[in-house]
Amino acid sequence: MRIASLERLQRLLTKLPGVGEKTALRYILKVLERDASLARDLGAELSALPDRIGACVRCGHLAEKTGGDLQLCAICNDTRRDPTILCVVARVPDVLAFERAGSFRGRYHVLGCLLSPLDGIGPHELGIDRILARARDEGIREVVVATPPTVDGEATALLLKREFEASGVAVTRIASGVPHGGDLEFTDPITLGRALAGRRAL
Amino acid sequence: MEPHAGSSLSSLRLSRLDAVDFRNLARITLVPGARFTVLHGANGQGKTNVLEAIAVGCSGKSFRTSRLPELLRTGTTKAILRLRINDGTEERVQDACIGSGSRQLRIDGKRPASLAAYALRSPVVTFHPGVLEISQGPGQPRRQLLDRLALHNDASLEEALLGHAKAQRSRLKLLTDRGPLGRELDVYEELIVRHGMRLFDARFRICAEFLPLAEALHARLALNAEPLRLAYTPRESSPAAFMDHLAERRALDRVRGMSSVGAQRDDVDIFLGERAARTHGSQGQHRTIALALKLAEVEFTARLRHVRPLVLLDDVSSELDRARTAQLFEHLSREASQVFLTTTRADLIVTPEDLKEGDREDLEVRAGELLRRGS
Ligand SMILES: Nc1ncnc2c1ncn2[C@@H]1O[C@H](COP(=O)(O)OP(=O)(O)O)[C@@H](O)[C@H]1O
Ligand SMILES: [Mg+2]
Ligand SMILES: [Zn+2]
Repeated sequence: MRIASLERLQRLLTKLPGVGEKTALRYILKVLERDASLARDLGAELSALPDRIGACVRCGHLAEKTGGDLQLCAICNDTRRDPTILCVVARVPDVLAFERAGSFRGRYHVLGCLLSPLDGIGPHELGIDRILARARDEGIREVVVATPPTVDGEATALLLKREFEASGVAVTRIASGVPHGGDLEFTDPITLGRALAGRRAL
Repeated sequence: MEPHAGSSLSSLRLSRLDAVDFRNLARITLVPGARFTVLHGANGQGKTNVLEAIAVGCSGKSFRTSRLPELLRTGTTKAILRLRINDGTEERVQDACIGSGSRQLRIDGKRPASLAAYALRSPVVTFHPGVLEISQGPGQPRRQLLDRLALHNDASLEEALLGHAKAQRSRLKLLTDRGPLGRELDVYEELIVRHGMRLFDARFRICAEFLPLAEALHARLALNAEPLRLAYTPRESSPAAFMDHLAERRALDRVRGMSSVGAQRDDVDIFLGERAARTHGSQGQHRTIALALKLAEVEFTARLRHVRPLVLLDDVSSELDRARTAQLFEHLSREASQVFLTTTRADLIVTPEDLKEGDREDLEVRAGELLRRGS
């Protein structure tokens, strides 16, 4: 016997990363097993999500909407943040990673993508103009490029460097290397090679 | 570097291979000879598939395809390889589990840091009939030989190889889509130069030792013949000149739809005496050069990895005359590498006479199964 509404939900759940058909079914059965309020709360929160959270109009990080209007995110609103240093990342999870670590005190700019001619993504899609405008308007003195060390991530970094060349803004690149507490033995050769290439005088 | 100077090195030994649903091998267990394993049988029975299973198990990659689904036995979704390998100091189990779009590799149950890290552990050198063309055709197989050795020397070079290729493709896409101007082009050309210079440098350092070794081996193989001379000059001499060449060639590359500047244009020049072998060599001379280069690869891989690689010979004797086959075996015997070979004529495979019990194993491959003599 097939249950159409169950299958519909299952198909929706499998659109999420890491969720296959079996996992989706497990989730559904678990929700059914529990008190009906779990299903109702989940549903209510999910359906309200797009009205409550959107991209920060300035930096692209997650921001809460009030009254349906887009707002600045908590980081852009935080006056204790250093306004002169801007960290450029590819995706929202990269911001979350920096924030978990807590070592960065400036503000962010989320690109949402990387330069990629093979996928038709150019400077326009990256919103290079928006970053240049921010630098001008916000008095930014240093742009830290924290895109991944892939070909497109490096190309994005180099493009930013060139775009800022005449502006007096310093463009820096985060280092790449061996994870803390990681055994050298289990580090892949490319990461080790980069760590070695980026070595510093003691 | 003198040939055979490092004969105190230990040799990689495969002591057992189990394969399930790999190509036409539904389920086989191979217990190889300590020195030679002769896989014989009619055409299309699965002899090369057995060699391919060894190569994939050791390196995670096949020497005849880059498409993983081809490796799965028709109608199945997963191929499993398990190799028991001894490198002279430790015994280990390497597992390769191939799905249609993924591969899972394990060394003693542990995940390697990367594909390159896995492939470094158990080096393999493969000869197949196509190799015999290495001194005649276009430069790609010669570059690949240098890059294989360079990767054994420095596995992080994979980043430069992949990065250079992707940056080249991106530049070409920009040229065709948007024309020969723009900051993006500058950026991808800068990346081509960064990765390309690393490749030139790595190839140059490999050649400084590898080319003389191949020349010396050739002199031993071709006694009274004209000496072999191999020369490598990186295509670009400096980052600045490299950048300029890329910029100069934008219009031309755009029209041609291919890149005319970069590490993909590199080559090793081959001379016999004073003449270019590519245009002047006879068929026999080309075969001897190919043998010298491959034997040098075995020797040099051993030096770089501190262990003698497994040697896979696919149907080589069908293309080599008796004298050269004999030379090949004589060298490989002296090197003490473990050798796996396929042939349709086992009687043509003459291994050294002083082999001990268990040194040579002859197996027939028939319709994807391994049969011992008399079974
Ligand atoms: N993915 C696959 N699944 C099943 N059979 C395959 C697969 N790939 C190749 N084969 C079969 O393997 C045989 C060829 O094996 P091969 O090792 O090349 O033969 P040979 O003994 O001549 O070296 C052919 O019969 C071919 O149909
Ligand atoms: Mg074959
Ligand atoms: Zn913000």
